Amino acid sequence: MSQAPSAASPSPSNRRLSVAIVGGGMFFDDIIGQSFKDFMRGGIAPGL
Amino acid sequence: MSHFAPSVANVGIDVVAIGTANPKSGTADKIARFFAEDFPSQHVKPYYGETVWKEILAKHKPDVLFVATPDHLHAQPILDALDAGCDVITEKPLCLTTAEADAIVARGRSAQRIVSVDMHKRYDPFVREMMGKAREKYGQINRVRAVLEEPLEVSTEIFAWAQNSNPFAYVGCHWLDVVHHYLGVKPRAVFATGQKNLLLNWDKHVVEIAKRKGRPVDTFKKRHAIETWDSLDVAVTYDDGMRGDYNNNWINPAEFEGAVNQEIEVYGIYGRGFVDQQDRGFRETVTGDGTRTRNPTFGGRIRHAGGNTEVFGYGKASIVSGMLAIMRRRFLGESAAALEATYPAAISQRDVVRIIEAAGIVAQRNYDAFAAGKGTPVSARLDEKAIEIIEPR
Repeated sequence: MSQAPSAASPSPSNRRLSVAIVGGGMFFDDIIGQSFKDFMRGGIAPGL
Repeated sequence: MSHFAPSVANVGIDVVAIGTANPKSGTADKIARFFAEDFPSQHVKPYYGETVWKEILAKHKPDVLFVATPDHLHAQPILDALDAGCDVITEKPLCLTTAEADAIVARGRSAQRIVSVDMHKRYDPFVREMMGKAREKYGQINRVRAVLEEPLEVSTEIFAWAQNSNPFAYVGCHWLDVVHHYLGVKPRAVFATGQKNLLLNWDKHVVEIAKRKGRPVDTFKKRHAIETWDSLDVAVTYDDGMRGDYNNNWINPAEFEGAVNQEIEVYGIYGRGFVDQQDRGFRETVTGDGTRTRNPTFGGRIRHAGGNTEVFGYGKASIVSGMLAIMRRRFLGESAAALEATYPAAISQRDVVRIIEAAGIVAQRNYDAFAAGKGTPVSARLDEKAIEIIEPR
């Protein structure tokens, strides 16, 4: 997915999910961290 | 693209908190800074503590808790999150005992919440292609052979908790999940043996390995004996008579050509298939790093021109499947029960956990019996309700 005009500001929506993460080991570095950055930027639709 | 994409395209996601165990490591702060690099206005608050999720659940009341704690510490944060009304995504394995799995399944169903497990090998396109068509192409399946070998660094450097788990629980669960999910088989008998040569004597072997690497021994994180298995080899007989052979270790030398060694082979009466997961034809040689095989289909990175980095691959697809189920439940009005077949739900992991539990018991008793000169006579019989350990007198 290309970068949106404002990468730090997802499109307005009243439908939001707040997520907390516990644990920060190998999986976080490999996949989890960057995946959630992607979700914060553009939701999950680009990954479907 | 899934037909659900338009329905969830405008659901925003905010990571609000990160918790890790040890404040001395500073890991939660590092992760908070990792998010702040891209999202400086969205504060991800770091927390520390042995039961850090409790404080996070109380203070932030998140919609979703993502559990990436050590293997033996998955169950309690999942249960506490369900009690707090959260949906959950957890790293694999779901947990290590049948009692924990049953408690999670019961609590999740009672709370009508999603409990998704990061069983990403289901989403590997190579595995999905082979396993999804295995019965159609190969006929009745006589045997599955699956290997997953993790680097030595995992058990001796990365995980402080290796002694609380084993290589079969840690990575064997992946192939169990793939076999159960795609072939729909139920385990009926388990036989297991294992080895404890390297890690149990790590205080001695670390000296030799340091010497071979030309590295001072005091640069190794662990230099004491590690009370766990080097490797476990587990044979499962399923309800249709099929045999599953699962070979796992976490002592693969760092010099091995791939990040891990992983392969699955299916033998049917009309044909056979084989996926070598670590060697997909991408091989490179780099000065100082040797010749390596790469598998970017797990978690490859794209740096968009003039923009952000994005991860792609089946590692992410698994998390997306759990997030989609959560969105369908929360925003599209679907029930948790109706969604269970759409993602790696906790109930799908019950047999995986039962085999992990049975194999651990059987392997240890066979290890003790062998040391006593009695061979390896122990196995387990499984029905839907119980694990019966069979140990001839």
